[in-house]
Amino acid sequence: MMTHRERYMAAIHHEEPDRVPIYAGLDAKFKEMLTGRRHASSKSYIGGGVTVAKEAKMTDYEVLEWNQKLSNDAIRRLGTDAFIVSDYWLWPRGYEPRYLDEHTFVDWWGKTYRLLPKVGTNYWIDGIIKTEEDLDEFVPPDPDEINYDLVDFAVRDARDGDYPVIGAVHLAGMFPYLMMGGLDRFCINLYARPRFTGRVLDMVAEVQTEIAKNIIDRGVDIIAETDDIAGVDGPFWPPEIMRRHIWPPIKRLADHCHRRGVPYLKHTDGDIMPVLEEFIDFCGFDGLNPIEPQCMDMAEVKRRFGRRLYLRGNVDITWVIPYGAEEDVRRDVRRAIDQGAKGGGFVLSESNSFHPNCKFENILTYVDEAKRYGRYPCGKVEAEG
Amino acid sequence: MSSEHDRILKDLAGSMIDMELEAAKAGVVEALGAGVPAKRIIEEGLGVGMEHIGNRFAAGEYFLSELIFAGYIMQEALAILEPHLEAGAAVSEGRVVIASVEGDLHDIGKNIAGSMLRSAGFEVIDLGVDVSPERIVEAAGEHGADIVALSALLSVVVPYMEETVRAVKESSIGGRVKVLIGGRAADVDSARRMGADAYAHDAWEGISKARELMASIAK
Repeated sequence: MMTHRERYMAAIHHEEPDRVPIYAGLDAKFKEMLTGRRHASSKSYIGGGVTVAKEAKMTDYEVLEWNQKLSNDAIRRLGTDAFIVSDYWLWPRGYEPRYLDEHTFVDWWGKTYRLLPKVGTNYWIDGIIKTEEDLDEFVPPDPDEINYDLVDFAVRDARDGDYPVIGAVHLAGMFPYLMMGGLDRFCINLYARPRFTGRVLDMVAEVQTEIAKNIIDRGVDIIAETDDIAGVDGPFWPPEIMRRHIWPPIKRLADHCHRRGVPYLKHTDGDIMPVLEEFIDFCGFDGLNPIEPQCMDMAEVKRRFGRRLYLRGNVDITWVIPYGAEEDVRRDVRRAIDQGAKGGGFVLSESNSFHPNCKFENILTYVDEAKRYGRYPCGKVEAEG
Repeated sequence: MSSEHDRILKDLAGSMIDMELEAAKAGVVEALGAGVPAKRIIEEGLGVGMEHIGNRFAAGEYFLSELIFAGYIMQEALAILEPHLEAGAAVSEGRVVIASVEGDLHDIGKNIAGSMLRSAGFEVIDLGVDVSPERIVEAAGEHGADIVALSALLSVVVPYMEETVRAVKESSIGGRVKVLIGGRAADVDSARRMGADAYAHDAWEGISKARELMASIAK
């Protein structure tokens, strides 16, 4: 029997392992249910609807390590195959969020978040870089001042059970538009103030690339770059904007990953199909996630790009997991495996993340069916070309 | 004169299509200077350009950033035109109260949808984000809204969207106000389940859905 790491890495190198590896991005609620332990409130936005606390009994780093351990143990309990450590959780040493009011704060990248206690989640609401003057005054984080101890911890903890560790990083797109006040304002600035927008993009890409390199140096197995660059209607920007601003930093980091033998997974929500071929040609990334079933056909992606890309997708989290019956879940898991698994190059995952509205029992069924139906030989759609 | 007006309006539409902000603003000023009525500038200049961009977006030939920037040009141009619109001259397509539902602080989709509706001639009253069902019902009543447009990005707030649709429908204005929903967390099935009158897949479709709802009110 293969270890989790052997299975996962074989699959993403386009080999057929013993069974399809399974990924699960879990909301804090499910991590708590799986482990019986509480997720700790943190001092900043760390994703997944985690409560933000101004005061914590534990030190900042203890909170992060506690939550990382909880996340890893939840994966162990659930029986899925990979750990993840995100740059959201890597803070500059001595970082304190700048509070604007009781529930609203600015983080180290100038992104503004607000906690909404009634739904138990925190939201990005704005950014502080609205003008070139704001940018001139802004001091970006120093990549060497970031605390990477959490990556060391995740890599070390992954040895228990031999799990692969995915380092999730932001690079080009999302941080700039969050810092500048939103996708709408970013798009307006792209055309109305292109020099300003270009400067923000360059600054973020430069720092985040160095952060990603440092994460690789700490021993992660895979880099997952997680900036959304598309919506259900297609890519946010036309190809000429992508070529000028978005793709070059992705190519630079993908090249670095390849020099280090680390696969590069590109995550984006939405329908990237209209530009996918050129995107792969330009950047040379290795994998794609999550291939949203609402707007992309994973069978077509497998057929056309399955030899060049490993796919990580795409059990539906908009209806099947939150509202579906057990048989709906089993059917959708089988559908995803049929579309993606043949010949390897496939990791089963949810189509974005298991958010709080998902049914817990459906997440368990997702894993159960994957282990039952995903034994190789499996998969129906053949990669061509 | 008329052919000169036609040329100016054609150039203005062209500036919109080419997404030339300054040229579009200059085109509006030129049209006003030449005595073209403001309403005609909107309908036959800016509106023609916007329609072209929206149709190409719907056909997958234009991208979201282009649709957003075109909406921005439209708003900038309308700001120049506003003092020149005679009272009652600009016939509104309808009055829309728009909000991100309670529990949802996302405003990008809502802002784009609101901006598209404005560019199509709707009066839009934007209540912002995290708006309670009671506040939405109250505002729709106060403003005499024809349509309540609700946005929700996260699945976690779907229950609040359902509650809001129910609150509107069960209120005293429920018989005459139409509910249009959109955003990532919504789809055609959820609209039906909630009892909303329409669902729009994106901001551009929001315009046609809002027009359909207005037509159904007129009947």
